[in-house]
Amino acid sequence: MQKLKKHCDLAARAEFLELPETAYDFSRDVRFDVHSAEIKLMAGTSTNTIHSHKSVGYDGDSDND
Amino acid sequence: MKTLIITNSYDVTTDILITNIGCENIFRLNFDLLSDYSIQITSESFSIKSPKKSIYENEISKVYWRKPFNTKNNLDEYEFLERKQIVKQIFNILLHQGKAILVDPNKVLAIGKLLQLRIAKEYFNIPEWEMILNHSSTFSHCVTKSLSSSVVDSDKILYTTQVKTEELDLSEAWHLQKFIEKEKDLTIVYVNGELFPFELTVNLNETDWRKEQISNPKIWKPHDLRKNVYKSVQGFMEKLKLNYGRLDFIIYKDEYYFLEVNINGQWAFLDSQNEHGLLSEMSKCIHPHELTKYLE
Repeated sequence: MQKLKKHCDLAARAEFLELPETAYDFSRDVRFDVHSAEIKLMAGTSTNTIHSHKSVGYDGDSDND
Repeated sequence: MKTLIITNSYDVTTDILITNIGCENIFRLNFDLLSDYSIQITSESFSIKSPKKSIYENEISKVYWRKPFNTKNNLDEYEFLERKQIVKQIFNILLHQGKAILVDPNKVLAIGKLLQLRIAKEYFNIPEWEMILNHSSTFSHCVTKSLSSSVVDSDKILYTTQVKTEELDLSEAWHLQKFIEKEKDLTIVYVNGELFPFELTVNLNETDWRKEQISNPKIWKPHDLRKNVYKSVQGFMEKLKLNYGRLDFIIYKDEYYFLEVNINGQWAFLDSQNEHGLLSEMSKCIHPHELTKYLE
């Protein structure tokens, strides 16, 4: 019987959420929606990369901090 | 004076802190945008300039280490490692001056997940666990957990997953924990001796609450912590010499079982609207003009 490996059998794809394309405003130190040009706080949301959705809603407590 | 936050530009927790504390009181150093900064470190001092702001070493009263390396980058490996050293050295210089608060990233690896479990058994019930490599397991039904919490293939995670040990490839390293039923998840944020406990009622088929965090977000509610657990948390954190940590437990039939302490654990999702005192407490610690406890 084929035995389970972490990498191919147990690791699960993380969830993603589509968010608008953002850019960074160095004056106010926040990201903003480039299409609406509106600076918005993304609190409570999760963004479209695994790294960013770790930032508030996800426990990205990696040793790679 | 200002607080230096070392993080990345996608870090929503830092967005919330800046909104709460005021951007005039914070200098945000985003590792993923480091190419946009100008930095000089000499034997006397250092300066950091972003396209819009600048700060000198003697203007910094506190430094808070968030999550600088949680983003992808396009740098070659060597340059990436060199740049990591820049921000680590800035942190270490300020740590040496007694300006670091809450989180010392050097302790994440220094303590690790297994040593903390050994120490935790002096303070809490903990599920039986073992780490095996090329060795049979003493368990049959258990859960497997990641030791490093690293990302797999850039978009996959090893969530805490129930397994039968007879099915595992023992040539890989496995961190296993005996399976225990749970009725609730409990997470406690420890901030300089103050405790902020939150609970999550779970359905019985759910092993890892993080798995559906986006499609089915969970609401954590404040938890009324038993006094003896409160004291045990205090004792454990003092033993580890940690000023901050997020401790995870499960609760079954009124028993608390310790799982782990996340030394740089995420916290903003528990109180993003500032309803439970956690955001206020963290903001107070991080505000450059407020008195707080510094890392030793």
